[in-house]
Amino acid sequence: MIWRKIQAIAWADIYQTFTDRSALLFNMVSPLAISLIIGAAFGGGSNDVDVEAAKVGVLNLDVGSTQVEQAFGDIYLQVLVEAPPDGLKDFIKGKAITDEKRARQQVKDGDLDVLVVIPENFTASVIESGRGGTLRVYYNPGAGIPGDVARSIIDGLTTQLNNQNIALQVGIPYASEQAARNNQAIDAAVAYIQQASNQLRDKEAITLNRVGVEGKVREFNSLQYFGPGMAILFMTYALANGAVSILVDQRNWTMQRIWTTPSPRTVYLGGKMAGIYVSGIFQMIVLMVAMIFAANVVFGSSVAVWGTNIIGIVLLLASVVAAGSGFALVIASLSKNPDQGGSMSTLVLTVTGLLGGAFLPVDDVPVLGLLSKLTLNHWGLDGFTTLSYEGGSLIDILPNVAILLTMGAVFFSIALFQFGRRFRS
Amino acid sequence: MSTFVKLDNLRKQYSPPDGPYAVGPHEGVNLEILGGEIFSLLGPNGAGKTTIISMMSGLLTPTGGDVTIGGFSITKQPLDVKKQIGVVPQDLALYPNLSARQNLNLFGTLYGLSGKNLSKRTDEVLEFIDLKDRAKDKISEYSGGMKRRVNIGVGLMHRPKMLFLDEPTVAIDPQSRRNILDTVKELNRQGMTVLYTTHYMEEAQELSNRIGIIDHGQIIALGSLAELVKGVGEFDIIRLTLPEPPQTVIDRLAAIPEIERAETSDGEVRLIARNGRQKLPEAIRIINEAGVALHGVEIQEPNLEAVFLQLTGRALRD
Ligand SMILES: Nc1ncnc2c1ncn2[C@@H]1O[C@H](COP(=O)(O)OP(=O)(O)O)[C@@H](O)[C@H]1O
Ligand SMILES: [Mg+2]
Repeated sequence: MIWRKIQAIAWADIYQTFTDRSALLFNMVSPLAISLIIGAAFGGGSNDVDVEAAKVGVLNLDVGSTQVEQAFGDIYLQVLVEAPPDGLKDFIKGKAITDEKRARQQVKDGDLDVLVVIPENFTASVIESGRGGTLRVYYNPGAGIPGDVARSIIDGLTTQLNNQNIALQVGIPYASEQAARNNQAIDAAVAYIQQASNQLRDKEAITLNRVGVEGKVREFNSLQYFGPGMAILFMTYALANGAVSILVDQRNWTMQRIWTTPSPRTVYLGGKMAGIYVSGIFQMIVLMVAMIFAANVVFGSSVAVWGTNIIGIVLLLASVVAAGSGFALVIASLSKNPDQGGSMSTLVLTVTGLLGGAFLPVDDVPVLGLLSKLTLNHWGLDGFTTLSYEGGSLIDILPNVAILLTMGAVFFSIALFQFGRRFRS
Repeated sequence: MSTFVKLDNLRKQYSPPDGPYAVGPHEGVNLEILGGEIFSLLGPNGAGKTTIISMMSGLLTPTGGDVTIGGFSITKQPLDVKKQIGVVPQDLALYPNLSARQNLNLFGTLYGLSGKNLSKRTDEVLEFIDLKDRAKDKISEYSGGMKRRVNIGVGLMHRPKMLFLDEPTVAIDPQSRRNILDTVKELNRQGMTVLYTTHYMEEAQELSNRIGIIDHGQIIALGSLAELVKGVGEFDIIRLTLPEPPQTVIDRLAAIPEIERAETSDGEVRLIARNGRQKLPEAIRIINEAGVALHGVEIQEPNLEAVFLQLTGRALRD
């Protein structure tokens, strides 16, 4: 019975929220529009966003040959992992691999952009048999710019080894310029095998066997940042409206009237809190879906705005709305009347939104970066980007979920205490 | 008729220990309301009517004393009391963005109705308040009178034994007021006990079996209309329309033997007089001698206004 009453109050709240056209326009359309506009301005991960270093895995099984001092495989390992020349440092993040199976899965998952496998008999094949050696290069075709860069670098290195002295042919102009200016290190490496490869006359000593691995596309789109940022910000605005409606109910005497019905007083606050929470969840879901569709229209291709980890998304959603509901209730419980509640919440939520990075990333700004950690916006946004373009797993976002839920619990307790005090008669 | 409601030494002090006593500043309020009667609390704004109703409906905790309704104590068995009462607050306590039907359904659910019972009762109440054809419209699109009717309808959803109406006719047109007064009478005819608060003496006069006159948080007179008026029976009120009367004139009028009191406001001097008619010539003579223009004279039969004036020296409405 009590549950039905709570439901009735929650439903009245939700119904009113979602039949209020001007509120809907503000809560739903504006975050969508703003994030799309910013998203379109920054573009779909093409050029001006910081290109992340390519994650290159090198599995070196090459045992070398008695005829050369250094195995060719070691050259790849040196250039790509151990001591990349200055010009390459910014573009690749190399990692020595021991487990091929696992590494190939990582390529598939987007955790590695490129995997180079150098077979056991590689040097021997090049030097001794004259048949030439084959490198296997696994790459994720969707890995975008970092993947392209990595493959170009490997191509270039291989070409150089083949042709001994030809400058790196890197596909991406800025990458090649930088690399070309600093290729002494590679030249030095090349010197080792110059002599040996003289034996190979006309044909290329090394062939690249490129294997495209269909897998997750790890592509940065600015919507992956501004989408969640705006969605969370406007979710908090909407939740604040819901929380302030408690003060409106008090002014209109609908709250008092509910108290005159044969129901425990907790029914009212319980119903309100449930209504606020469910409205928040609902608004987020609508926005999330709308952003995916809108991104398709604007960018012409599917953008994984929220990533594909459904369980992670659901956990984050549930916890960020819990924190938001609690925060909204705290603001309302500390406001004198609905008008003050309205202006207070707009101010406070805009500031926390700013600090939380809704409008611009602030993580690297000295003081703001620290303050940012106090906001639910930060933890929600960080969680969503971890899931989307960082391809994080459930474990990666558990801290976010835990922090958000803790915030929610603390806020709810404060709000309950405050409302309890003010409604005591 | 037996006692249905008992106010026992009821007091309310807002924000103790220094706050004002809104009810019972001198002594606790004692009052009994009989089952089946319409009882009116008549008093000016700020007299304490809403505070009393709020304590009776479990919204405010009494600072002292208790209220018993249908045998249950509001402080000890609030839910049992609330099942028996419908409350119609002074404000329009409705969700403006919900329709009449949605409001009735919501509060019906909170009163414990569900399923078929709920929808059937909602239909009945809509019929009773004559809003069946507008049931789906938002409250915000209604006229003031229609809103007032829904406000009453909500309080009827659970077929309470008793209805509290707190100034249900404030700020509406005469026709809607007529409608509400008739509704209250009809409910009472069907057996509903009614507590009605107002600052309009005509309403109290028309509706009530018994009336309590309240001022500054104390009930200063209690009884049927006839009993109350009898207390001031020999008194008439003479209303003299005198724009800006000099104080000397008022003093001289007050000095006429058997004139109890002379007071002035709104361009009018009111004399409360035993056998008022016989004192009129002398009053007019005094006014003429002072050279003040007399614009009108009216002698009023004893009524609640006179009772209030006699008890407090103030007019009921301002
Ligand atoms: N919440 C409150 N806090 C302090 N004083 C109040 C409060 N509510 C009402 N009062 C005071 O109590 C007195 C009685 O008010 P009320 O019961 O509303 O009168 P009425 O309903 O007869 O107009 C008034 O003086 C009013 O100012
Ligand atoms: Mg009042």
